[in-house]
Amino acid sequence: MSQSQIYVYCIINSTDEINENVGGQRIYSIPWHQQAAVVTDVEKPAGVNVHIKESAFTHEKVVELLMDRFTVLPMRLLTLVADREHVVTLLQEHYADFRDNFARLVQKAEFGLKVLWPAEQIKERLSGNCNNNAETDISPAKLFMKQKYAAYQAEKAFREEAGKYIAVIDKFFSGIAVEKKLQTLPTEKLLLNAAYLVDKSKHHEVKPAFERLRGALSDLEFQFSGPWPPYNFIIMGNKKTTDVDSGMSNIIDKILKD
Amino acid sequence: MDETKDVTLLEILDRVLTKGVVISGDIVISVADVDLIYLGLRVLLSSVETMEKMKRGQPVGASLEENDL
Repeated sequence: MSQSQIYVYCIINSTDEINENVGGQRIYSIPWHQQAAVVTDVEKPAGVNVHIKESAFTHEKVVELLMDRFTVLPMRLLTLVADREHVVTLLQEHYADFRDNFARLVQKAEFGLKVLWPAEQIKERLSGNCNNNAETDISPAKLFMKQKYAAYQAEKAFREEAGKYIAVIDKFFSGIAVEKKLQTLPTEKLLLNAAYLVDKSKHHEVKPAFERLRGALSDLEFQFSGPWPPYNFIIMGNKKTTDVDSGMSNIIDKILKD
Repeated sequence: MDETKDVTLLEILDRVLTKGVVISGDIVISVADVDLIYLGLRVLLSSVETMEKMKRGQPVGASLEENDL
């Protein structure tokens, strides 16, 4: 037995009628004042048969399709509401937040940059710089404390080195981006996970900047992507993100450890 | 799944899972609970560090495989 629900892809700053077909699904809009939710009807999913890969690609495809025509505020994946009335309630309750985001994000897109660095080599180099005064006659307690302190110093030096690299990397985009989100060392090898918000008039400057960066720091690995809808730059004044963010971070951590 | 699609998926997941407009409260039905996401992702997302194997500097994105900057 199934029951229909409404999947919300994004909010747009227009009440133009949307009527698209993506992957056999009808995508349409539900307007309220100067904004609209872009949605599709879905059967209520049963059990655990939610296909994340397909859902993610479809979600992104729909948002990118609309991004060419409107300023879009992409919803988090798998945002479902019960019916049309609830969609209108969502638009009403968050109207001011959406309006403020539209004002900030109009004509802007996000570019992503992930930077991998040779963490092991960096650590070796940094440990080589440390001055190890080997003491032959040392108590176990003192040895323990000394090792703890050495580990602390090594971690500090590692993070400081990361900071130096990131400062250099960031300079390549400082004159181009209007906003940025920099995540330092989310994993040991992933030096930087960055998102830059760039005005459309400067989109053409992003790739040359990236090429200059890649040429300047050839010992690092780069993954550049974009333009994306501005996922990283949505600010919701009355949202409660902490639980969601920490929950998702835990999931990703688990997956990365598998 | 080829490498480019793998990276593209990773980039998309990095955004759609935790970012964008996140609405909490009674309006939204929470389908994306921990178990569902975990089941789907563990098969697909081996690690961020698989990017080491990827072609250096190739731009990715759902619409970028053929139409990059």
